[in-house]
Amino acid sequence: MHRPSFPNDRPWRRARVDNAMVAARCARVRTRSIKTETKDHLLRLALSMVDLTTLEGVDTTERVEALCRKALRPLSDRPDWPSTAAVCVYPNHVAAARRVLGPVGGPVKLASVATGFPAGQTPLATRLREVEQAVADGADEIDMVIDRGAFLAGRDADVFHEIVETKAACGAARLKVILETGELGTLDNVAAASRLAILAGADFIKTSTGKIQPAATMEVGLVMLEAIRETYLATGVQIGMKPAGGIRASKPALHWLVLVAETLGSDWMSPTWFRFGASSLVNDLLRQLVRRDEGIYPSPRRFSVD
Amino acid sequence: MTPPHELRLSGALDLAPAPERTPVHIPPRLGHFIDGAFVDGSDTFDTINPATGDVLAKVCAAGAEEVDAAVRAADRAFREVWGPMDGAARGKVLYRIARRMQERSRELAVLESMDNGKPIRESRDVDVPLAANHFFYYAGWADKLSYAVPGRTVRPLGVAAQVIPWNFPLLMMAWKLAPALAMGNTVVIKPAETTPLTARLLCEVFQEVGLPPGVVNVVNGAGATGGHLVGHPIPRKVAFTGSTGVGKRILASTAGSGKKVTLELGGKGANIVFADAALDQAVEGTINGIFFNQGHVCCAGSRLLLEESVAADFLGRLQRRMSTLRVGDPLDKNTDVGAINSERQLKVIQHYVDVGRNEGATVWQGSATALPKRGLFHLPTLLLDVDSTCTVAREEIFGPVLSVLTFRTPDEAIKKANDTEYGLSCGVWTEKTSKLFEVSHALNCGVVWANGYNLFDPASPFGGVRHSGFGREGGLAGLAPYLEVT
Amino acid sequence: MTARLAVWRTPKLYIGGQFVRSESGQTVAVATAEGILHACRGSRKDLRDATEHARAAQPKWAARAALNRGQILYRLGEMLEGRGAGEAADRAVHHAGWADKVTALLSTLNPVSATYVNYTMIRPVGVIAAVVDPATGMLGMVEALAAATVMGNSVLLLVAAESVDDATTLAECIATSDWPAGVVQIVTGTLSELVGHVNGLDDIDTLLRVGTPLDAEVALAAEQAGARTIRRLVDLPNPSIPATPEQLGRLAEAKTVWMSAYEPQGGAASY
Repeated sequence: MHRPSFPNDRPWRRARVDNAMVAARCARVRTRSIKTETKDHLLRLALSMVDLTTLEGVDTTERVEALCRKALRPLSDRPDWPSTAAVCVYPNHVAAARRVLGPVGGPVKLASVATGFPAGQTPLATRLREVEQAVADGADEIDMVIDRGAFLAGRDADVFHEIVETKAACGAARLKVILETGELGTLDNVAAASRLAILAGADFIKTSTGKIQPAATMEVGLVMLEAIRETYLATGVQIGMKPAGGIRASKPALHWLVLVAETLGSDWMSPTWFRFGASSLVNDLLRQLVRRDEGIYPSPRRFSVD
Repeated sequence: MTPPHELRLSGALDLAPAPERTPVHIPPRLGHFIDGAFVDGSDTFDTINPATGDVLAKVCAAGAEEVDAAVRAADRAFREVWGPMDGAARGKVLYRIARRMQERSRELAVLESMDNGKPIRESRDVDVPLAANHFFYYAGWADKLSYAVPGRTVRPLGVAAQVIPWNFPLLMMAWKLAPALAMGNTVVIKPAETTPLTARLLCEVFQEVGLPPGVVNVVNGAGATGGHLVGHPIPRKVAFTGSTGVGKRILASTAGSGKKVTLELGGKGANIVFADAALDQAVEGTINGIFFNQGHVCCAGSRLLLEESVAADFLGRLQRRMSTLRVGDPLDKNTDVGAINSERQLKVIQHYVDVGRNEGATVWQGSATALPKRGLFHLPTLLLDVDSTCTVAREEIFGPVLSVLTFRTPDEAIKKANDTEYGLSCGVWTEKTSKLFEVSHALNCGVVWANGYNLFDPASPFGGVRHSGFGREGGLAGLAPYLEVT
Repeated sequence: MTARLAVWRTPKLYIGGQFVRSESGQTVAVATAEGILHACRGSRKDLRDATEHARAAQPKWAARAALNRGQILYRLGEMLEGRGAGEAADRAVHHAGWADKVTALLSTLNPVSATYVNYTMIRPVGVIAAVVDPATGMLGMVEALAAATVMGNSVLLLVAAESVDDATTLAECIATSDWPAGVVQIVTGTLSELVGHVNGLDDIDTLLRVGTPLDAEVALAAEQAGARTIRRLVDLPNPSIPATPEQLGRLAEAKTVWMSAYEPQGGAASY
């Protein structure tokens, strides 16, 4: 497998972002009004893009199994509604999840947060071992965290090297690189880390672990989408995007889709290239879909907790 | 034509119609507002909805007698009521106006979009809140005039004659009225003939909040009405926002009268993008700079000055962004670029695009939507390969048309930006702070946006130099035009 | 012994830092206590030259440190004192002190509702033609000159022939007090004629009247002509009192800058 080499001039560090105008652009996206058939379409699309996630210390096999069943059929009486894109679990639960989801190639992908999630503060060798194990247990996708400390200290080569090695350990699995933007401090850093991760081999870039606030703000999202756009226009390589953490309601989710459509275009409007890392979002999407379908506003109790 | 790796932006997002449905009442016939009462008039003309061509109302044109009645009412109100009134009380009336405007903001926004053609997103999020905030801001000055010019005594001037344009009907009315009233002047104001509706609603607000009769009088009509108003002997103040040509005529006609004049006229703002700018954000600012309000903005960034080394890159980004702009129904909440206010203005814009083409410019147009079948619309347009000698780089187009020029060094950028008779506004984009300050300060104009464009605030003085006029609106500087200092 | 004969000063114009005769070749005779003086009759061409010099000199003058401009004005005061023009010297010294202070009084920091630092500062208007009422004497000339230049403008002083003696003294003081060439020009002649010439010059940004130098008809024509270029008209009707900061502010333009301010994570991040 091709391993990209570290560019000594660190081109990602030249990326420049103007915060005020990023905020202005996002504010404008938030004024988009999503109505009627557009709303139906985007709610379903959003549902199909969710990485239904559970990443708790109290996770059990039973909980993960329930999550997988919900991913396959989010609302029991609506078998025709889309399944979610994936489930996302700790490495220890990959094998159990795989059993519920069925063999590789089914409608719901299996993602796992390997690499010492969420801090990433374990030796690289053990992190790589974790990745290999998760892939061996049936993971389609690996969500890794970067070493934010190394990035902020300017040890870009270390961050780059870890991504390269993790990517190699993934084999055929797709690699999502979590920047943990809430710890990067500036949008310039988000822009730089996005480009670094892409050059090092990320298939997806992802905002957050969900353990740190702020998580997936639209502002960091726009900056990351712009990095993806630049990459595609320059090289033709398509990179995926995954905001994770803090997206709990349909309205912001739909505005995310507007942002994607207006920044990257229709090629990204699919679960292959865009995901929401979320848990409670699914129920709100279902609730809005029921509202559209039945004309009544359902109680949240209609939807299972997991 | 499309490079191998181009984004598929068109059709990426089909937005269903999202019409703003707040009901509004439009009287079939608009007269004038004189001495606190709506009065009928004569010589009617139509005001139309530029997005549909439908007649919204018949409007009366005020003649000399009606203007005289309005001025006399204002003079009486100045001497008997508003001038002598305690500043704090005047301020409270203005605060009430601001509050009532907020309460009726959606109606104001809908009327403005129907009459002017601007997108409801802008009238709702920009024009109306800014207009209300302007009253709120100057209300607070009304009881503080003795602090406005330290060590001097200030007095209101008396009756102010004000003439405003069609591009921001309500906002310009607020910009004119709020400082004048706060300082104890009374007003006769003439809205533009194509956009009289929000002025009418604002007069309802004045009645509702108890603004004393005669303090604000509105006369409708076109240039002749404006001429009667500006030429009337009683007003001691003339404030005009509009074209440079009319501004010159007003200045000549008021010569020797001793009237205090302020003029906010045209512009040909340069928007300078350096290679070390945050390019994607500069694109957004460029979009705000020229396509805000269909480019019917005196301070529009209508000349894009690109550093040559990033020109091609930047234009690609700009064109991609333009192809996501939605042109159409002003009352649709997702419309980015609305209708051109009048057929006359649409012809002016089309004329300039032709002139640009004939002078060698390449015309590029883009949007996410096709032009509506009916109504007055114009696609967002770039004129590429323009140089400083071209007509389209020198004359104000006042539409969604951006002339693109290039430069190589900061000095050249400054020189080109300043190479205009106008001097209203400029934008500068760079992430290098020293250059941002240096260039911002070297530009010969009244307003500079450093990493921004078309931002407005009641606390921020606005106005131009040279052919863009003189006098400031907004902030402390906005008091001076309405005060006599001794 | 023959009584000593006085050495007459030949009056000249002061343009671009040089004492020059009028291109017109004409003079205006003025009776003074010492006899007849022949003031240059400034022509359209003289004023055109003066305007070019003023335009060229202005940006560099404005770019000088305020302290330095103040010191040059102060130096003018020293020279005037040496010529016995005490009142005018006092006025030069008064305005010298404004050079590095008036900005603080006339600028504002505006609290806008956006992530920008918004400030309004004052910038020179550019080239000022100042027409000085001869009744205001040397003081009127110095007031016009000092008010215009302390704000960073360059100036054309239009002086009536009857003030030629003071004008010559003033020009000599300017020439010997470190003024960069072109910041101040002094042109003598008939005021109505000089103003008529200025009416045809588009490159003058402001017409400043000191005292009441023009009759109504000429004043009206000047105002009407100024409309062609949106030229501003400023009055200092009573130069026995120094221009106040508010009046000085009329010889400047307010310029507002929205300077983008850093905001971590780019805004309120409402979702």
